[in-house]
Amino acid sequence: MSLPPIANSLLAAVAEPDLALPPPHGWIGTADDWARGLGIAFVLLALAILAVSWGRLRRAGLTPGLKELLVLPLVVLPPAIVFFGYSYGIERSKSIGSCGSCHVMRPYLADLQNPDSSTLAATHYKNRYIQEHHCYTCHTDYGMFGTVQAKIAGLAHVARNLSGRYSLPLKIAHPYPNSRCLACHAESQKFRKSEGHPKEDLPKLFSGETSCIDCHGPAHPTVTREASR
Amino acid sequence: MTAMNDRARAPFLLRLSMALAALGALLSLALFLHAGPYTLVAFMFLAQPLLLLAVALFAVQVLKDLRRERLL
Repeated sequence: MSLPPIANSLLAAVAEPDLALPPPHGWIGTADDWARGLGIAFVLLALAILAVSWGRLRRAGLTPGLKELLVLPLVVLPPAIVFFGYSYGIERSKSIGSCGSCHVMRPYLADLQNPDSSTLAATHYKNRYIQEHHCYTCHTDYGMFGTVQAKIAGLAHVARNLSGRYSLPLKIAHPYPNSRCLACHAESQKFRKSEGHPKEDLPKLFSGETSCIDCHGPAHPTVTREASR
Repeated sequence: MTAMNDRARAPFLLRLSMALAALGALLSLALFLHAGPYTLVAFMFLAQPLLLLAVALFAVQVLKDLRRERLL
């Protein structure tokens, strides 16, 4: 069962009390925790009422009281379940655990979490340049439709993984856009004043003429066919 | 006679609606217990339509009942 990051931190705190991440004052869980808890509660309530109603329907037939009772699991609870399902499911789909749940992605996830790796992804991960949703942050375009496009691409990945319509080693579908790097780095003084990024070269980086990955890659290790199986 | 009809005939749509809602709820439960790409896809493309269909069938049943009682 996958847990949200803060829950993992708290579990780690039990194992290693000295390295505990202290919860904020008055901590009552994350929005994810609540969406999940309420979602489970509503599903169980709907199932319990449906089970009881099914028994009453068999024994006594359809009574006015039963009709009123059925409004709850058939009309009132489903929208709440769908709301919390999306709220929790979409948020959790951004986690690295979700991206790494397909077998073919595991070598990439292993490299990401390897403190000895020097790939760009692992460097960002171990230094916490990105706080959470590491895969998602770098593989999603910014802006209003970035999330939507990422979700559509994610659906296509699930379909390809199910049908086996992909070839190894995996290759990125489109050239990696600099805008995803620059969204974080562009305003950073470390980036602006770096000797590696002379002022006269910046327009090439911002226009995409020069790729960030050309100098800072590889972003991920080259995974062999065997390692992905 | 009406009560007999209710027991014998009317509940079919209702039972179907209840079964679909239960199936949709179970698929949703799978997402809440183990959120991953497959459970999310199952939730989006199976659970959600099943729950929607359940509501629609329930609405049809209610309309039928109202018409039979000449309230509509």
